Amino acid sequence: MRRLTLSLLTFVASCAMVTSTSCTEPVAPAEGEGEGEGEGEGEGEGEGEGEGEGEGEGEEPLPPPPFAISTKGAVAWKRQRALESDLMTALVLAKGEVCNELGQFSCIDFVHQVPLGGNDPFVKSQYEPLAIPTVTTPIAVERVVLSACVARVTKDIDAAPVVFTTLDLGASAVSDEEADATITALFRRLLMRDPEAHELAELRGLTDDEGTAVPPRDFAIASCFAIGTMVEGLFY
Amino acid sequence: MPSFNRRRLLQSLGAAAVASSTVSSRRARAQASADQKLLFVVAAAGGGSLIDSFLPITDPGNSSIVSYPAGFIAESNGFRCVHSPVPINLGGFSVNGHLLPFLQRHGRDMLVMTQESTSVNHIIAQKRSLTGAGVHGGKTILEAQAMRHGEGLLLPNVNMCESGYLEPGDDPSVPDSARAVAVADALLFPFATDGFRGIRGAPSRSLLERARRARRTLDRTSAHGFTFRDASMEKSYLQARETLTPQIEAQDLITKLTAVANVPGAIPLNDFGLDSSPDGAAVRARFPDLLTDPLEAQAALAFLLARHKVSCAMSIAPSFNPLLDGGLRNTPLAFDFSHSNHVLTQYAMWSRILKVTDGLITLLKAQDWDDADPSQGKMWDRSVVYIATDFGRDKTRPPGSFEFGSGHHLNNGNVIISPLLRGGRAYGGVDTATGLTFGFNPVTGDPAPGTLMHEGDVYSALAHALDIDFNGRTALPALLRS
Amino acid sequence: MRLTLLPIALVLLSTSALARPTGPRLYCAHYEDTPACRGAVVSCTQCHTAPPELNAYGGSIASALSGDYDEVLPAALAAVEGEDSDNDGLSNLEELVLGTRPGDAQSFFVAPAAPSGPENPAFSVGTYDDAFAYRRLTIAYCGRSPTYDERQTFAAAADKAQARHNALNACLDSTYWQTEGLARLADKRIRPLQAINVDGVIPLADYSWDYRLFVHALSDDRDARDLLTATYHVGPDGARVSGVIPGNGGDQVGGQPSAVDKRAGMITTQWFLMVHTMFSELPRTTAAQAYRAYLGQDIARSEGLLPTDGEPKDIDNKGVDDQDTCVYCHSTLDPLAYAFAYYNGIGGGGGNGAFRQNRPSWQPSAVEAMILDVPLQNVQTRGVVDWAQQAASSPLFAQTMASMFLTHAVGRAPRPDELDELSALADGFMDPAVDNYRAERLLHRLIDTDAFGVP
Repeated sequence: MRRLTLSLLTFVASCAMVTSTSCTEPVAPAEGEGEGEGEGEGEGEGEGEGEGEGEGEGEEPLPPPPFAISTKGAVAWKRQRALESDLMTALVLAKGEVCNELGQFSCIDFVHQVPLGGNDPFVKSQYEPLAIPTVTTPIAVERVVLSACVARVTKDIDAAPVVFTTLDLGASAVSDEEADATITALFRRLLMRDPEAHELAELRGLTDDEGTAVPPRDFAIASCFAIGTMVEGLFY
Repeated sequence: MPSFNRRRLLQSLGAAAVASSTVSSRRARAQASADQKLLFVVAAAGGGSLIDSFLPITDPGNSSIVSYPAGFIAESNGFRCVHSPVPINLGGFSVNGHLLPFLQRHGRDMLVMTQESTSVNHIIAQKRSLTGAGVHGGKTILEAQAMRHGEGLLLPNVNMCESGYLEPGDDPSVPDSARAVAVADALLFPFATDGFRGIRGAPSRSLLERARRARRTLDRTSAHGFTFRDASMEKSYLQARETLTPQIEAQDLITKLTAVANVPGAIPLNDFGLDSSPDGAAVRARFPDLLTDPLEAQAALAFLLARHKVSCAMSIAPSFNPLLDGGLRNTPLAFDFSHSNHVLTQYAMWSRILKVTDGLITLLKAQDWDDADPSQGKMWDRSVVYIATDFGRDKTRPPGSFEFGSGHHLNNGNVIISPLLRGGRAYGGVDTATGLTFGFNPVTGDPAPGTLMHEGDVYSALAHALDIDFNGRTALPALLRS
Repeated sequence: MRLTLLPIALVLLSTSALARPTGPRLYCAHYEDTPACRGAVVSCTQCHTAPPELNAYGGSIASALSGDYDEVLPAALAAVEGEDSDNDGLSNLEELVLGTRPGDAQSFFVAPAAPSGPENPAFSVGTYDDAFAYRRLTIAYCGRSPTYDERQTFAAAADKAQARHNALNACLDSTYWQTEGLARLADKRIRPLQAINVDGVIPLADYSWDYRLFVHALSDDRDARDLLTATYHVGPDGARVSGVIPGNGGDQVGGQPSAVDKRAGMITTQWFLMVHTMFSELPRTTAAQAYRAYLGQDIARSEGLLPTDGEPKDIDNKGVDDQDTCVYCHSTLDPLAYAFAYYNGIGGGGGNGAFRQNRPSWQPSAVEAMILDVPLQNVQTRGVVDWAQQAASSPLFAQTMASMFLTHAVGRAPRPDELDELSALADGFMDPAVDNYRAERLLHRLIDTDAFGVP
């Protein structure tokens, strides 16, 4: 293979500018590659492995995968309509209840349509959607999911609960059992699977805020938000 | 014909172990370098003709070349322009011209540069007007500007245009950070700058931040997260989410970029814990119709993005949809309505483009570059406004007629307004017998009949102003200020 | 055209050379089975940057040319096969075989190696994964993820393949696919604009006819070639409607003025003709859009150039016969466009988009109407109909459909290691024993591909 002298390889498919990666084995984390509060980012140089030039603080290397991973390096993006449909089904919401900015402007069909992967061909002459998510896509996703979670919790408080049936939304704290049941229900609804033990443990931590009990209402929204915005639910 | 086996080739290429990663992009908090420049592209979408704006030909009488009677041509600051002393009527709507007022206010900083483009296809021509037909390795001037001056900016390149003006350049080596962020609605874009604020009923920010941290752990340790960790799309998404989002949120852009005022009931910002930008009043004074006029909203956002050092390359464009709001603000198909009524469309749309550009430049002239250090001058001192356009229009018409349609034509020119170039004149000229523009001597600036400039030369002029150097840049000493 | 005089030996050179419109044909006669040539001619950008400027590969070929271009090109192509003109680590021939661009250092391919390590508990990485494919097809064609219960049911299914195909059937009948999924694939082909739609500020035509026909032809077990050859329209109730459909006013806005024998699917609807032809005597934009939308050849990007000798005639005096510039594209584009000149754009007797036999000012014998190297006889009476028939039977149409659906399904353009599967999809699409031009049959094969189902 003649191409071994450079480790930064990008593949450009025909006429599109798609950058993808391929690797034949799990990549050792680049030094300085992190996602913390600092500005460090790894950029691989040299042959075979990345050597990062990260700066800043809080970087953690990616944990080595415990099993074989995809070397194809390609996923598809779950765009705005499927995101909306999934939230409507998972949280039992009508279309107009999922997310509206300032209480009136549809997030999915108007405000965040483009960063969520949609397009308006009729008025804005957008004949194709974005090929890949843009830098504001994560924020748009968070706003939509958070709004939907708030909407569902509010409805479950105001009337007989439909989704958060394993929580006493009027109580002052959340027990571990209630947390696990709620988390499990949310995983099934939002990610269509059961949570792993470590995932339960991680989210159980949201019941407590440095020794102070988090109200069930807030726990419900926060856990719904965390699970609903995992990349697993946004790419396939 | 040679024989070859694809399957065997694919297998042989996969045999060796190769590690690779995507090129990550560095981002930082909003800050700017001392020599930073600003580029504003205002796209005269659909084909804005120079002989119908700033290179008008005087009609000798019943001419079959597109031209104007002397009474419809005005002069100011070294230029001539099409000007009607009274509002004109287009389809029952009154159009007030804005070419002369623009010249009077900004003509000294303005230059016209003739050129002949290379495509009469809207999309292709629009893109080439930004890439210089590939003169800089396929980079758009916006991408090049973002690469040159975007270091330290959160969203260096923001594009509010459509169609070919929105297309990325052809250079795959352009870093993600320099690629355009597409904004479909300028008024509502600020909502895409904070994950939580303005959502009624959300828990405390501290709890949601903890939720974010928990999510991050889950994403890094889930089966999906492990399995697709090398998928570039997910990696880019995670980088934007984990690195860029906190930086964007920390700048309170959801406030700073909100040009609209709080209007109880209609735009109840305060009810949702939000507020208008501290620059909102000044912006609304220049763009009083930004609620109903998308181009004004875009110009307002472009100014705010530059003002708060979020971006250094901003592009705006009128829609192809008509805008009827107390008058004809925007013709259908923008400048391309010239197919139906050339004269009135050119006049109406040039007036529209220049009115909005006037508002933008006025804001830039009034605003200090550094609030803490007025000695660094105004934002305008380091700005370039490029009125891009697809192509020109036909040069001929039924003799003496003002009621005709025009097709696309390669021959045209562009308008650039900037204190960084030697303005107050046209570079190149027009043959009054044919309506065709011709080039100029790049050293002296003198008209040079028989020569032509092209997209790459316009790109080079912009690059000179913006201090962007590259192989193949046309030397244009005549345009540079000493 | 500006001339630059740089040594040919420079990488990424910008030496000018008069581009040869015969090049693409000759190139593909030599490399018929390569991806760039399959069913078509190669784009000029294989050898050029902005024609006639040469890229590195074109420069290598130019250096190997000596003699009459048309005669020596094949030998020159062979001579440079072993070189790596763009220094990306792959030889020119390797890149041609793979389908990457030998003149672009950023275009190359590294095949992913097989996954290694302990078994993945959630995904069958490197092999077809039924559950992964099931989720993918549900999102792509139902517009939603499968629910928890649905995934459990699928996991328990004894015949995963059957379960997968059953799910696809259900999704293809879903409201999402019928009203939104398919429609979004039509947007860039129809190019709507609400302001000039029948309910807009300046009503000129009704694009909803176009969307209904597009969805109709690609649904159920219908012949997708109807996109180009349909003599009918599809009404709001989903039923086919034949014949002239009156519209509003003298321009028949919102109707369909073409008679059955003048109909050719999507490329003779009132909207298509109105928005692309407008006032042009020779509707080049119309022809270019039809060529681009349904045959995947974008002339504006130097694709699909098949010049006709003696063309362009510059029949409408636009100066397109300039030998240094315009002729390279217009020698293909103008012959493609002549047939469309017999249909109104905006205005003209009979209404927007109506057929009008005496519309152009020239005589049919004065021009050479062509498509894909096939002369169009009787251009004045049935030119576009024959244009459409030729296009629909072309491998390019099948490739365009296959590529459209595969790109939509996986969310990206196919990669070099997926081109064989793409070809198989296209070939089967045309095969009467396989898909027989039925889009839904193609989709059933598509979800079984590795491109779709291998994580």
